[in-house]
Amino acid sequence: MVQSLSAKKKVLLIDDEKYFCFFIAKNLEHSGEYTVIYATNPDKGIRMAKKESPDVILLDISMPGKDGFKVLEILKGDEKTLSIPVIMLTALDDEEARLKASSLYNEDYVTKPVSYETLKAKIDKALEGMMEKRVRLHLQR
Amino acid sequence: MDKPRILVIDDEEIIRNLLSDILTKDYDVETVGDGNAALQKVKETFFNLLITDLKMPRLGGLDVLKEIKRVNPYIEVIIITGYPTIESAVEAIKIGAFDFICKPFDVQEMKLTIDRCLERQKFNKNHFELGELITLFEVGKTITANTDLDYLLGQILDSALRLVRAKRGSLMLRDEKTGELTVKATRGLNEGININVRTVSGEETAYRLQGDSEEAYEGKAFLQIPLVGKYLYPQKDVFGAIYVTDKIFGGNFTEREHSLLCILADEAATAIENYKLYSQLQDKVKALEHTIKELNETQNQLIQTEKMAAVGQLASGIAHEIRNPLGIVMGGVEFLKNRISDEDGDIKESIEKIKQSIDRANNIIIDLLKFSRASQLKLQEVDILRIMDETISLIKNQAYLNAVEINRNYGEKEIYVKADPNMLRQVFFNLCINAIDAMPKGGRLTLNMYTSLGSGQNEKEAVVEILDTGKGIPEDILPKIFNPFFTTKEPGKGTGLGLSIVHLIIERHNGRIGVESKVNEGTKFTLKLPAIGG
Repeated sequence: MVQSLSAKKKVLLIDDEKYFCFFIAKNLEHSGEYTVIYATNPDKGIRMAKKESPDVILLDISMPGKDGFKVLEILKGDEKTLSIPVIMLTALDDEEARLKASSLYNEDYVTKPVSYETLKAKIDKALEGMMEKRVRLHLQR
Repeated sequence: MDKPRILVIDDEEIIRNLLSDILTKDYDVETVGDGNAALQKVKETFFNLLITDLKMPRLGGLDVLKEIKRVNPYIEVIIITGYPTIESAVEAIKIGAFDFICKPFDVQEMKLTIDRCLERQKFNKNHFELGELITLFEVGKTITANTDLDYLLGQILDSALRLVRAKRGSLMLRDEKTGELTVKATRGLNEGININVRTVSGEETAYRLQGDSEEAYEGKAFLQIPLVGKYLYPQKDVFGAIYVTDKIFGGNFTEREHSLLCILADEAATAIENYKLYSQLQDKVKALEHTIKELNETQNQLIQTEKMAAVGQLASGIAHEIRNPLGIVMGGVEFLKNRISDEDGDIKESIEKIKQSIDRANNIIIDLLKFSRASQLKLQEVDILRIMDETISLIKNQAYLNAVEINRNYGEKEIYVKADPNMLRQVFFNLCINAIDAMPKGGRLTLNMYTSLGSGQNEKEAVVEILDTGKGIPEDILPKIFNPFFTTKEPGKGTGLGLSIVHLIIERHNGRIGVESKVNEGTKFTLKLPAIGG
């Protein structure tokens, strides 16, 4: 089933910084375009991704326990979360991490501190790409 | 003690025998019948006194006196004659005769005259030898105090000529490369002699080399003393020679003169060896000074590089710790912004200021992170002219807005270096933007790029000069401009890391960066990188 383009998009944010999650969630929701759920530890984030089927996942790279790339590997290895676009978040403007994110899973990357405008643009771009993929798949069927 | 030696010359046998009889007790006496035989004797043996008849067949007494004085300058002479004239007496004294005795002579008077004459001979000989020793001593002092080789060789030769009373001579040294003797200094030699002409070695060819005749050589009218190595050259190795000829008073050189010249040659050899050692030492000192300078420069570069690398490591370490709270602050500020009404102008403005401060802090982190990346070069062969062209396309709008004209002078069609293109682009960009910023009222940005020979042998360097006609950098600030966090810009306008990043990147490429500036005239940055194909 193709989702309505006008429906609020569900964003899952996985980041160990609680207040970062809180403010990003509030700011995205303030626009009225998104509903945001968040997890402050990687394992909980993976569980929520499988259970909640978000439209897009914002995933921090540096987290205690499992780093963002490990979480990404798990999400991409699971059929339920395989097709969800992921935007990697990091405090390090690390060229290697950027290349790893884009070359391994063709995912986008954003550096903290991030403004609402930048984040929104990244999310919309990821969603657009996702939507195009789904439409293409639907038409093929 | 040996008896004084007397030579008696007289063509009358009776006189010879008489003198021999009366003198043999106290002296060692030899007699000959003519001047030539006397001359031969004097050449063979040393005599203290000569008693000669004035009138003799072939070689007369005065001629004998002249010749013998040349051979043995210490000899004293008493003239005896049966036909005394004032003229001959005056002539005899002029030539150097001690006394003039008429035949028949009184034996006691003759003995007294001989004693007085021998006393003077002894005194004169001592005086003469002392003079020679003084000359030798002075020579030793002069030649060991010299540090210029040509001057030293000239001094040695002059001393040698003075010592043996010769008019002409030369000094030869062995050529280090060919091993052949080469004339290094000459005095009074035939014109047209090539000073640097080479000879195989030794005395066989020496006289020809000097332009002297074979006869002079065969007559031994010269002395050639080898210069023998003691400690610098191998022991007893002949590394040169002193050649003297043409005695001032004519005649041949004596054994004594030969001995004196040998002593001088010994001193001279030491002086030359000392000079060579001194030169070698000087070269070594210069090389050492150069090495110390290089070491200091390397040490300073290492310190600077280590300092910057440490900043880089610190940067990547703290970036994560600072950016996370900055992310929270940014989110929080935007959260607050969404909760105020449009009427709350002051609060809105404050929120904007906070956001700007967040950006400023973040920019510092970005610059700091560039440090850590400057240490991780991805080297490849790149044409720096193309990199400069790409940089120009990035800055040309900014230049246009500031009324800055860009002049490109490329000395070659392409200049390849091994470099990280992104890093070099960053260097060129930073320097060009700084140059444009230095010309707020417009000006000219000149970009010169060419290759030149580097400081090392056969090393080609790519040279990049970035010149502006801006306000310039004051002299007291110039040494600090590459220090991290040094800035003259207003707070918030620059982190003070741009030039230190440039410095680090160039150093990581084994290059050098220099700056020259004059206030109100402009600034010139010069970059030098090892070029490929040097």
